[in-house]
Amino acid sequence: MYRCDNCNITIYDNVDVCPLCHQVIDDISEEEEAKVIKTFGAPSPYPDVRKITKRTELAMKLIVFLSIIAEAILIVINYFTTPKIMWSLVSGLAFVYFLFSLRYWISHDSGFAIKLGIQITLTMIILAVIDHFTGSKGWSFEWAIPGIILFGDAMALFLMMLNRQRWYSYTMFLLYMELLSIAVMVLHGFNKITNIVMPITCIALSSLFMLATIIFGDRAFYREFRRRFRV
Amino acid sequence: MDKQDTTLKQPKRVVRDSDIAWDKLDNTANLFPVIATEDMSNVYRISAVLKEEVDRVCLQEALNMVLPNLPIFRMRLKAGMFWYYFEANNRPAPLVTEEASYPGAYINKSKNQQYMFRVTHYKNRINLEVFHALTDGFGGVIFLKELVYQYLRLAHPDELKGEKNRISTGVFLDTEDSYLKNFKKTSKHPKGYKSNRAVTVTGERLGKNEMGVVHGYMPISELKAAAKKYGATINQFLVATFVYAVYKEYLRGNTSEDPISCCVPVNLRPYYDSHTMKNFFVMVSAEFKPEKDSYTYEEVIKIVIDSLKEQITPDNLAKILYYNVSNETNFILRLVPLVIKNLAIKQVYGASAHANTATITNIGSLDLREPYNKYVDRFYAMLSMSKGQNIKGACCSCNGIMTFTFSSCLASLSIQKKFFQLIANEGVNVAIETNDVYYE
Repeated sequence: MYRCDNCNITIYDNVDVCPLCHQVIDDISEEEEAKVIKTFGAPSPYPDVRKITKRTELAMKLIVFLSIIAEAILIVINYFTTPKIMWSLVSGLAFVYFLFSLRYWISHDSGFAIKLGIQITLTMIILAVIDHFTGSKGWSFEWAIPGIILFGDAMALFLMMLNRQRWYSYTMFLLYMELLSIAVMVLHGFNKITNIVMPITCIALSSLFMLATIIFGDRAFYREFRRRFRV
Repeated sequence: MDKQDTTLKQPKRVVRDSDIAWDKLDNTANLFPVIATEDMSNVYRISAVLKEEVDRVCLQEALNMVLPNLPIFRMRLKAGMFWYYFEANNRPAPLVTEEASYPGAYINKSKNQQYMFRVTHYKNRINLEVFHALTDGFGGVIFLKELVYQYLRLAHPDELKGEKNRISTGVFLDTEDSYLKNFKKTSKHPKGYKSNRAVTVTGERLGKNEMGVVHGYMPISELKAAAKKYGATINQFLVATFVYAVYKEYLRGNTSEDPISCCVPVNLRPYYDSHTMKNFFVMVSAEFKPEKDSYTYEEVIKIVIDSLKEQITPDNLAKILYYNVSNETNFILRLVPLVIKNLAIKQVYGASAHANTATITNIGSLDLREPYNKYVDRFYAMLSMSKGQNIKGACCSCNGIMTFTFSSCLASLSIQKKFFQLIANEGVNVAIETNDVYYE
């Protein structure tokens, strides 16, 4: 314990200079220290959390650094092997997608259903963009996006079974899948999707799950709906 | 460790899925989920420093026993289409861990068993950190006190064998929304929060997400005598001293176009006879605009006292309350989807964020009842940073000692230095302690 004559205060920290005025200070006698502790209580130090924080940050920075290096190598390989097809753009997009997802899942505090909904939306966008850059063959709308919706339906069912006590917390996610299915059907109506099988499958499955949720969920479903849509 | 019989704790109620309880956020709480970020967590910390090292197992057991009795803390935050809401959280109590982050660190609402508070410990200290959407300091203090009582009953079963394992008699567990209850449509002109720019204390910052803490310990009797010399209450004296420290150290005693404005939360419970554990406070601002060349300490204290006295009146507080609640009760605004509401709230908050230099709060006396008092040295309270406010102060008292805690994201301690020097020069015995962030 120390005493700063300039500030006229006692300092609990184990330091040689006053943290406030930076004057070199001297420690106080044991008697004086006992008196201070009797008046104000014993010191209550803090842990060195700087080290812990830095370790987490370092891991994230390392992943970003390695991703950039990997993408740079892929660009070089792309340039010297197949300069006419810029496939390294796709890998670049994949790295961005991976880093964003990693950061989002680790640090964002949305619920699991919201995270899954956003991840599904992002995946759809990424696939549509990749499709666009690789010749616009339409595979993303025909197969990939409806496939993701079906995956979303399956996830909703799986999560409801897994978390049976709070199954209703995934109803909004299911509703979102239903809306996406309708959107896919609308795209079919505008001839953006030629194959009818996938849109029909999506809307049938999503609607089936939704109907089952409404009928079997009964009061819990309505309560969840009321909570979520309270004005 | 010998443990007391824990079978007396409340029987576990099994809540049916379909009947899960939920609740609206109070008027103030609506703001916090929108503006909370890693840098601006809106989490406050209250700590109890015991006279002995804290046993984690015992503290966990105490938390497990206390939490079921405090419904306001057994909540998780959910987003609806138009509003956020609370849903009862029946998960086990969050894990008590050793302190491993800066005070007031962001509480990730999908971790920590989805609870919006955390309990940590380090050596002799028990920390309770609470997301402000849950409750204000009043609710936090009740929780921490009950946690400490229960911890001590478990840690000292023989000495405290006469004490019952239950929430203290006289504690109100009321969860009403006192804002809405006391909102009256009135012809009074509503008083909004000001958005004129105030002095913003800036400078070199500490590392990312780092927060510097300086505790100042002062005997209340000496502080009272010092405040009395200027005709001030302890609260007014501390706020005025802070304002003067900013004036002398940050403005270097120069004039300024913008005022030094210090936000002071006012607990509305005594004014409206409320005992709610939810948030129930409004903000007033102690203002000092340095318009002439030089002001003495006495002059600044007088200006701050007048500014606070003028604002802390039942009539003025009613006007602020009316302004706060009127927007929430407007049906058209209620129909706006949450996503848009969030954008609007962020915009309004951003516009008024620079209207205050700092916030100083006093959560009052935290003396424990007998026979627990002898086990505790002191309590701390501290606030996390918010937009435009890089330094904040929080104080509380225990066993005749006032602890004033500065929290700041700035590397400089010049304001803190002036503040404690001024108080020490008034004949008050001052001791300080930091969280070591200011050292290599």
